[in-house]
Amino acid sequence: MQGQPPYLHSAFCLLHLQPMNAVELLDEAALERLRGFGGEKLLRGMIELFVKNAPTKAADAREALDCGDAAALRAALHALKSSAGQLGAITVHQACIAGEELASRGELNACVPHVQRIESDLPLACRQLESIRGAA
Amino acid sequence: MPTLAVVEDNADNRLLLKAILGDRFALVEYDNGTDALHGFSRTRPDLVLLDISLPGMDGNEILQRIRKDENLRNLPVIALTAHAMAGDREKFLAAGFDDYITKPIVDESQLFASIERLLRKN
Repeated sequence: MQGQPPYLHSAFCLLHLQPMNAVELLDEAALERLRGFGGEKLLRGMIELFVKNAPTKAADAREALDCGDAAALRAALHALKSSAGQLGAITVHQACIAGEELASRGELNACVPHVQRIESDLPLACRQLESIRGAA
Repeated sequence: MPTLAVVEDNADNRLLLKAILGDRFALVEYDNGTDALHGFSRTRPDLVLLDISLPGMDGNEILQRIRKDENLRNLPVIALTAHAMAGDREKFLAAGFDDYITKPIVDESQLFASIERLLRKN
């Protein structure tokens, strides 16, 4: 994969869905990269948009999963994937990648743990990002 | 200053591209294909950064419409996409995109190099 963060090698290895500690939810290198692209102003703006929009995309994924709509699930996870990756929400990003791949093959049951991972980690990641935004 | 059109439905990605590219290029932003094609017909940009997974008309369809339009067909178009599986690059280039950049953007120099190469070529 061209130019992808190094943690992506484990994107398809979410077999052991242990709880993550808070530090592991965010990739500090991704946040630093954003600071490099546009300083604290960009980072604050990106966090604000992510915190506002990502929960809706996660809810879309849940609704699609519950309705058995693989195409809609894939689309919802794809929509969340790049935003989560850009902000370094590692576990959410990985779950989106794995879930999108499974949804593209119509393997909805296998998507369940990945959607659950997003539902558990996204609020925590958003909280941490809000703290970073507040401190910036 | 060359004008780049950004066709991207995610507001955070548009904000990021503005931060990365805004000092060196004039940017025109669209969040859907219909508005983008309408805008291109009025004011032709020098290059297009085109997301693939857009609501309604997707990036592939937008590209095909650009290539069928005699005023736009030579417009350089870069696929800017989170579709980053093995084989995707070849697939998008075969579809007629001039280049392919994956999201998340981790290396802005790759983006600049692609844009500048295509602007020189055209």
